[in-house]
Amino acid sequence: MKAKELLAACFVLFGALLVWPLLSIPNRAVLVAGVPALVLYLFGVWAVVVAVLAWAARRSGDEDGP
Amino acid sequence: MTVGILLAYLCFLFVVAAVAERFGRRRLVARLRTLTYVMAVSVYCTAWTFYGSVGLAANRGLEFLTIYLGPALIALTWPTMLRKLVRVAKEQRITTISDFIGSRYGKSAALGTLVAVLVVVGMIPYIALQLKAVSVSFRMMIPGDSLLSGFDPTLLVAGTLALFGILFGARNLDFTRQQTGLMTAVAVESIVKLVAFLLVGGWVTWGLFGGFGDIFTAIAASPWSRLLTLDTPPAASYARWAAMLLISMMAVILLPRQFHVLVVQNPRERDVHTAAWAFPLYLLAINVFVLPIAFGGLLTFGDVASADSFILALPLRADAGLVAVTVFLGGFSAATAMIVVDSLALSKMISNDIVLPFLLRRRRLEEVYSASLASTRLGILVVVTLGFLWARIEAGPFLLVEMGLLSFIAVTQCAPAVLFGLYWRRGNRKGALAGISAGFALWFYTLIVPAVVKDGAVPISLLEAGPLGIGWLRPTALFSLEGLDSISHGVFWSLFVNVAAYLLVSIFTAQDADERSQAAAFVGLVEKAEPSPTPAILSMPEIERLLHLYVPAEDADAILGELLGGKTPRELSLPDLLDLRIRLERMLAASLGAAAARYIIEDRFTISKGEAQELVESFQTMQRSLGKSERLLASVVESVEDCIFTTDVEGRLITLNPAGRRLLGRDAAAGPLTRLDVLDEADRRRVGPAIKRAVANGRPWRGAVQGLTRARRRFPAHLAVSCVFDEKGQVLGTVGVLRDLTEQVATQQRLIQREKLASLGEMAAGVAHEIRNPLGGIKMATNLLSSSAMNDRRISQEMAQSITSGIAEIEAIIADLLDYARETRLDCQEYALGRILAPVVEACAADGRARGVRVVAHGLEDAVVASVDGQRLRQVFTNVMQNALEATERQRSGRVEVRLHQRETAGVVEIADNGVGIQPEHREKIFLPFYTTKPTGTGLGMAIVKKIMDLHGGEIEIDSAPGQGTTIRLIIPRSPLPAVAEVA
Repeated sequence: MKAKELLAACFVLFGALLVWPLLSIPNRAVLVAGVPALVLYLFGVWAVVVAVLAWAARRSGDEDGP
Repeated sequence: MTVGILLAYLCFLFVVAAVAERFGRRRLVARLRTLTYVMAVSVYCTAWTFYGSVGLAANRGLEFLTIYLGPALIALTWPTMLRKLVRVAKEQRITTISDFIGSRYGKSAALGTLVAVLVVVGMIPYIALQLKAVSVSFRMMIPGDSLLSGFDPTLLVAGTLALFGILFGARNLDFTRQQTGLMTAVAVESIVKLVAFLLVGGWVTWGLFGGFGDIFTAIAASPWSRLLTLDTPPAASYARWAAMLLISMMAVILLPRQFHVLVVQNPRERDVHTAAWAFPLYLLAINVFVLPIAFGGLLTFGDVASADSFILALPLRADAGLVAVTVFLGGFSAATAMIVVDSLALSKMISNDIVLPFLLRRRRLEEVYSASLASTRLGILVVVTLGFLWARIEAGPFLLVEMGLLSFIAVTQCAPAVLFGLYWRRGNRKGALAGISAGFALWFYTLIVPAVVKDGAVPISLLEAGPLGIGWLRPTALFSLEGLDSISHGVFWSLFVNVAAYLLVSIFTAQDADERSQAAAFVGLVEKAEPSPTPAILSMPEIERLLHLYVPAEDADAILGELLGGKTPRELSLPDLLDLRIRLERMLAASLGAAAARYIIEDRFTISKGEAQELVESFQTMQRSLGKSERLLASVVESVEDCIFTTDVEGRLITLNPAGRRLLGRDAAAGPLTRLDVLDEADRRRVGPAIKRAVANGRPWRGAVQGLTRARRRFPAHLAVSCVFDEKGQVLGTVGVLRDLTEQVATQQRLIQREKLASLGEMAAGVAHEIRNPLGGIKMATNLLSSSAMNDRRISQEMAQSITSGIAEIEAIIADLLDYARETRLDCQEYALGRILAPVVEACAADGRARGVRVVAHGLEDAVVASVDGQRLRQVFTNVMQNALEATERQRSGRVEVRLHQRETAGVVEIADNGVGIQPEHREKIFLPFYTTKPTGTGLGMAIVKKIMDLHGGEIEIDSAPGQGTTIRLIIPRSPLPAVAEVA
């Protein structure tokens, strides 16, 4: 149950990270290690979302049983 | 060669599907099924992803990412929202998105039809887009001078895919069954396209260029450096970015193919959790190389004109044939998977929500099943054909992405009805109709009209000046809303009006009974859904007739078997039949849609008149007999004199009968009371925990308590609490009976008082009698003294002596009386009883020898230990022994036996004689003071014995019969304190 609440909170949080105004922070013409800052930022957020969901799935798998 | 690859790949798909269909049902283990599901969900990535993303990236930079970031973001709500959607859909046997909306809003055929029409219209361009992609990529693959240059494979591909859909998707009308072959083929295609994309991406990034850094650095230094950041209005804006995120979040669930794979074909509810992380990961992987390929294409070709085909043009230019074939296969697989699943889902909508309602209105009911199967299969052909035609006609320079976005926004119009419908019970049919109609109207006006204008079909003045020159009606700046690009403008207006209409109309209009029951079933799955308001019950013969009429014979028997679940028709009860009807309707819904299923069952097959009458009568009889026994029970509870109450598990009072209300001066309804509130404070503490324990273990509890009325009057009472159980043996609450003992206790006390008075009288008589004897002697002596004999010194001395001894006798009586009456305290110590008894026996034995009585003792050496007042107890033993001696002294071979032994925790001293015995009428009175049958003695001996034994908490047992002797057993507890009775 806790995991579901956390996911709902993450939905709001990551949603905010992906729109204006927070999105305007990485939106600049800078290359970080040869990769544009915005590209790094977006794929980074994306990877964290996948990680959070994988963690939640593992937990729910424990709850549901085999 | 290209044609060969294409044909080989199509054959491969058929083989995969056929093998999976043949063996999958048996062999596909759960884990593999989950994998198939997760990969099949990636049918989201179409040819648009393959070619369009690169084109969009080359034109507009990072904007293409929103189409995949949105789904990744909404995946965070899948474990809750999508899981609920899946559960509802499974329970209601939902097969399409139009079916879902129609069913949610009272199984409305009109709403289902509206949604189906609009979604089909919105999706055709999308299918056209896939065919176009196949056609374009095919043309690029074959050399210009080839024999095949005039050959367009689109028709071949479209025809083959339609056949595939019919064979593996529409083989059965029930879409809620696992379409194993189709799902496996789609899953395999997802793997093909991912591998293809990663291969070509790696080849471009590290083969053609020197890695990510190389490509990005080159672009940053080129005129296209603006692509590395988000563009500024009007070309792009944060608003456009957010709008695209929003519509892709909705589309990933609501697109017909997504709904079919994600919801309808979901194998197990909890696979949603796996899909929730695996699907975003898949999207992430397939998007990693989009930017390098797009920028690589720009750097290589120096032009955005052919950006949509960069991914294929790059390997062709470098003459990397194998890579080109891989790309072609990847794009082809993405397109075919999408076409197959989309056409299948759309055909189901066409059949169930457009064709069937039409047939039903025409009342051609017997044709429903065959017509449904035919229209589903034909529907696939129709959809694919429409797509093919659209691809032929629509040959303009319209970017793939723009066409795809319009489809996305179209299905997003269903989102408010679906999402609010899942969580908000009040949302109703009129609201959904209003919202969806208004949303689609604005979608058409703000998005389709400008697109058509750009195509040149409509004069451009419409956009610039507005229709009829009305400026604030301009399609791209509705109500003069300017500063937004066309996509965010269209998304905003269509969704805003959609949601507003849905909410306002729902709030201001009412739901009918069907809508209410469906709303409850969709929103509140946790609690059991409200029963349908018109539970028309079908009899078993009716159900069989219905099935055989509408469904082919073999299917009918299978459905019947599943419905009955192993029971024979005779075993079915009334609720079973009701349940059967509901399940039958759902089963029909899985094939024909909710609206048609409801229509068929309600219209034709209601119960026959005779059966109805029978049912009504048996029901009434049942109700009458139930009512009778209920009334009887109620009147018993009402009229009984004891206070009877019921409580819930926590002990809160629920009901209180009239006697209880009178007794306590309270009312159960008057305020929150617990059963402990009827008890005195001290008792609450004393018995409260015990009652709680008993109830927790489901045991009854009874015991003496002090009751407490509202006026704080205390009364003695007996409380009995017993638990009430449900059928599963769980404690539901308790029933308590509180009996007022005030009357009984008073009566008892009056009796005791009377007994006391009576014994006082007898005692007084005894005392008087005892004192009168010596007094008589004294009186005579004094008379003599005062007479003439006064001078005789010897006589006067004798008289004085007689007086003195009389007084001494009286003094002895008074001393005994005082001794008896004095409050006695025990001075208890641990004694071996034998040690107290032995000297007494010894003394009596000596006495007995003088009187010719034999005294025998047994067991005195046994270690029977008790805490007693030794001195007092010695007196007890002496008195009893003395009586025994007196009773036996005039007998032949008089004999007194003393035994000491242990009985449980008490010591027993048994003194048996073979003397005269006690007359029955004296038995009760021998313990009264001054009660004696003997010529000598004060009659206090046994009274003192009784008193001391009482102080020790002991008991006296007497076995006696006249002439048979007497046995007196003194039972001395180990500890003189009365044991505290545990009340439980």
